[in-house]
Amino acid sequence: MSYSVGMVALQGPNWFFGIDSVFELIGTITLLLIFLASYKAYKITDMKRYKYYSIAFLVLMIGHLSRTITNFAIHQNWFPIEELKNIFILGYGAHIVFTLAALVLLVSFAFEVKQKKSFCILLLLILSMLFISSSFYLAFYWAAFVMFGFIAWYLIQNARTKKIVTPKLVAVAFVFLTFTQLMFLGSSILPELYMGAHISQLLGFLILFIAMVKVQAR
Amino acid sequence: MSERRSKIDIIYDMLKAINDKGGKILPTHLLYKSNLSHKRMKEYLEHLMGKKLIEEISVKDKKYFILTEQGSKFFVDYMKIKEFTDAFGL
Repeated sequence: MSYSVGMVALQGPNWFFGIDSVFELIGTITLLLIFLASYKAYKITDMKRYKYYSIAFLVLMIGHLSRTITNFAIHQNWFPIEELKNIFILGYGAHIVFTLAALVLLVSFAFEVKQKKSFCILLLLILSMLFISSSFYLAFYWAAFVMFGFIAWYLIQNARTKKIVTPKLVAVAFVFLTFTQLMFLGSSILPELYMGAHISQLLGFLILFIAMVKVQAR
Repeated sequence: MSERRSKIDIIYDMLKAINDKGGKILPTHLLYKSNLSHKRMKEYLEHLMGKKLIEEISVKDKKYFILTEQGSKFFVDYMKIKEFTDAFGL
């Protein structure tokens, strides 16, 4: 089935719809765990880096949740058919804006872009390019792929300097999440990649979840 | 290449030094284990005592620093924060 409304397209077999929402819910829970761990670190240490990190993961979680709820609402026929386009634009619009804001924050963080102005310019540039792009969907996943790629590269460098296993898990998880974006991008051409993207994303979040369990088990 | 330790690393090293000594340590040992100048260690000690994480006690005219119950709990939390920090390269 290829389900297309305006700027966004959902690709994949019928039986997979609903399962993808469950997969995404696991991602949302993992992002919530990272947000809570970072926020707790901020409350204990009062250090700003944890504050910004918790904000980034909270925003990423909201973005992820927007897509989860939108997909689920559409698959469950919560809304009349004439409302679907608006629901799609609203849900995916929120997903795109929140996800990109969180990724820009994480990239700025990884590469020590400390000025708020630089962060704002970067986000404004990406969002404006998206708005003038002929395909929101493709432009968004390309931007997400590039930013996830930079974050993964940073985390690989971090893992190489650490002897413990959790940095390696986090780096591998972000490599999966990077390729996820590429598969979502390709799903507009090859619909089978929609399932592949969700599986890759699930693996990424499961590995992140294991890393967080290991952190909490200390 | 050795990196400059952050505030969190220093506090973690100090609490770990006390914990490794069974929760009670001599100031000279703490100075050695935490790898700080006397002046900086004093600043950190004041910070930790202010937060009631460690206490100063005297045993047979010798001064010791001990981990409080709150300090022990804090040390566990700090271990988690340290692991989280290392995992995400913060």
